[in-house]
Amino acid sequence: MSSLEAILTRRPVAATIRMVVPAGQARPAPPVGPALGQYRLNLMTFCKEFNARTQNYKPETPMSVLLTAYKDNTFEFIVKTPSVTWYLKKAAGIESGSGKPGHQVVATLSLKHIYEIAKIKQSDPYCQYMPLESVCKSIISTARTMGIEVKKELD
Amino acid sequence: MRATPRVICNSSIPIPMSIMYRLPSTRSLLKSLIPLGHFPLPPAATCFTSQKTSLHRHAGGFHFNSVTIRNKIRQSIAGRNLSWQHCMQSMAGREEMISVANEGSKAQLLEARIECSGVIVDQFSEELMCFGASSVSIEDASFGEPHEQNYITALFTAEKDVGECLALAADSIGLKEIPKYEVTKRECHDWVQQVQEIFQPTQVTDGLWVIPKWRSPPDPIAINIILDPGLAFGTGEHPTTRLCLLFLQEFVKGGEHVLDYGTGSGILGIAALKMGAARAVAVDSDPMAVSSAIHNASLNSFGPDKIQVHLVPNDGSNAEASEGTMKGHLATTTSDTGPVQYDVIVANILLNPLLYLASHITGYIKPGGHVGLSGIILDQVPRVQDCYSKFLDNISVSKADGWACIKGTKKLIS
Repeated sequence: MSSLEAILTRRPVAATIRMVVPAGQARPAPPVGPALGQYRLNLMTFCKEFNARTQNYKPETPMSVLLTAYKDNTFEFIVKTPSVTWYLKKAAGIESGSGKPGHQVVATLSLKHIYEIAKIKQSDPYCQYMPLESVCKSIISTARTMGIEVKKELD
Repeated sequence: MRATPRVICNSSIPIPMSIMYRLPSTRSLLKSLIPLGHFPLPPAATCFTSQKTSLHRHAGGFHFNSVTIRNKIRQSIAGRNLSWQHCMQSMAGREEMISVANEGSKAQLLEARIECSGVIVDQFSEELMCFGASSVSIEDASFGEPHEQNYITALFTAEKDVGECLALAADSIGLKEIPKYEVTKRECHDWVQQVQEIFQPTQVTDGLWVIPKWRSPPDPIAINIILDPGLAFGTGEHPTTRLCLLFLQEFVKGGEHVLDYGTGSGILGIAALKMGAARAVAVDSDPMAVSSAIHNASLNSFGPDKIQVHLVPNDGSNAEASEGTMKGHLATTTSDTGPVQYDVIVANILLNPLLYLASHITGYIKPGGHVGLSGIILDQVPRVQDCYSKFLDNISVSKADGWACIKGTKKLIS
């Protein structure tokens, strides 16, 4: 439980905004522009800071951003790693998941791929306390719903 | 697919399974509708990988039935759009939505304002993102309280079908019906105006102000930079711009040639001229920045004899090509023979461009000249310092608000 002082000094939140922005490519154009502009937030500050924070990623990787806008026109944001489905598609080299998951398999991946993806996902703010094994399990089930099969080793 | 009849009968929105399968990226979607745990796999499960056709034959009655059910659905619903219109018309007062959704291609953006209860608002917004919204914002005074009605504002590009996306999202989290919503067309001009309204006169330091062009300077005798940034970066409020302006104030005494790399709105080049530089060259890889810089230069009454603005290609791997363009441009700006050498270079860009343009940028500075680099956050400082220590001496770092500016002088003997 946060202390009373923290609760009293907490800034009132105007809105929570979710967006997907390519890494290093934030511009004051849609989707960023209208989403932030309607809450009078400083677009260029967000773009500059987002681009600086995502310099480690390959350009154009779609990063999901969770932004909290406060009523006094300030904001804070968290940059999350791209979605698991995106990683799986990249690892398997396919454009989109299977049309009939469970029946049609579009690609196979080995446990090594899953392990690498799990390591990246663990750096996400919300996955840090999960053991690596459970992160791997949830990635494997996501892969199954996309029609990607996971084998122990690729032949 | 035993789940299929359940979807059709119970839900008020007949969603063809064909759509579901085309969007497998939503795990929760399939979990709720097709519990894979109950899926009776054929005995030879390994036949999934290699023999797809044989699977259809081996898997027995239930699978075959599902294929025919699915085909029946497809045949009975003659065209997806008609079915959506049908289901939307059946809800009270929704006829105007159909016309808006179909006219969507003329507008720039579609904004859907959805009202739903606090319990599901978080999940619903995630599902909207999965099904094609460009961005989703949740307005809240009391985030997540179950009895309050929260509003979600979702933005879509013009060609998306808003009703379909909402229906899919609602069904994937198990709602019986789509929450109430309204769709409005949004022109792009709306938010450009809003961006401009935020801009206020800012004092960078004593005697140095940055003023938007529609306001008058509060201090007429100070150095006032008049700006109309539009969509380019550089209003003087950001810590990196401030750090660079302070760097220029320290090193521009009068009569220098200044290069502003990554100029944005042109603010740094114009500031250098106002502080007494003889000539400034501003370059950027964004055409919008180039036009903004030219416009701002004329607002401050600086013509092409004082400041030249150029567009450079944005390809990091193609540094030689950009170097060729730069040399070509720069050769025409001076009557001197030989390569142009600047006295002061300021570069407020990002980490990666700074790293791969290191030799390129420092090639343009004369020995003993001053270089200022910014647009880097504090953790990125060591990397830039290592990279530039080959070219620069007297490296010092100034910091503000988590951002840093690295200053140095070009080595006399390189």
